[in-house]
Amino acid sequence: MDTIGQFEQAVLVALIRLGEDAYGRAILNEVQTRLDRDVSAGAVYATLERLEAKELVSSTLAPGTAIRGGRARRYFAPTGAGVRALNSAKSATDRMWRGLAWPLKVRT
Amino acid sequence: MSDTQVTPPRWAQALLKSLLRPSDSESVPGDLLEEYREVRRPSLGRLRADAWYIEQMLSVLWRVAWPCVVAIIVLRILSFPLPRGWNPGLAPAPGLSLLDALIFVWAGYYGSQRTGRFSTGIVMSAVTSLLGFTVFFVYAAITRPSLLMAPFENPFVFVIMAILLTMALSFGVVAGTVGAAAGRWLSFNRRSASVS
Repeated sequence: MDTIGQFEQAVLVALIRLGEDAYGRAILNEVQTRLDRDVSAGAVYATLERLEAKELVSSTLAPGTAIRGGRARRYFAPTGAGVRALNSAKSATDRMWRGLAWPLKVRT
Repeated sequence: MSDTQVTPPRWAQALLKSLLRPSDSESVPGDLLEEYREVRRPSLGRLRADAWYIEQMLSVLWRVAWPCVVAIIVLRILSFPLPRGWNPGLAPAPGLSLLDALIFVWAGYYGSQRTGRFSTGIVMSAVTSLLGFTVFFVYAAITRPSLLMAPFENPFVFVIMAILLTMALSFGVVAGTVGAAAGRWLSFNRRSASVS
């Protein structure tokens, strides 16, 4: 199974949260909101391209609107393998933290 | 409020489109245009909204161009300490050496292979050439700060720099065109082989 990095997880989680509304601009805004920092469009599109190449994400085109100058929207959705990879990443993080009290205390 | 008449700089839109795979050439510019018209332009005004658009375009450019940019920067940095002759110059000007030519050919090839567009290869080699030229002068100015004053002492230096830049860019584009043509030819042959 593919292992996924933190930014890939953020993008995949955004796809799950957005559901049928997951197109490029919405994904970019969702990732920025959740990570609470500015994220470049290039980073998100490159990640989506990589996830699609790994077959963790699939996409379909839909007609554009006037505000987009008629340009098509590409909607993304996680594949079964994408959801499994996300579950696996979450389990790994949970296992890593198990038994530790949160928030961690700073030793002085 | 949004205005469907307002548009980001046309050159930035054209450059963005040239960097994208044909399958993304509508959706990605469409996403950025939508954000520009609905959010950025009304809230930031024209100048800052244009700056935002250019920043997003550069972020896409960086994702495509970084291997070529790293290669040219490494070549420039190595060129200074190493003895003359290790990288034969094809003309007495910066950015016109044998290794430069190889990097520009590779940039053209890499760009056209990545997106399947001939124009991406040419853009890649032009960007690589421009950055290589810039790094040459930045590095030279760091190692010999007196060079920074040269244009003020003799404004003709600007003309010389413009000529050198034109030469470097032309060289990069010509070499990149060769690489882009090779990339397109190879992908055409690969497609033909997979069909038959």
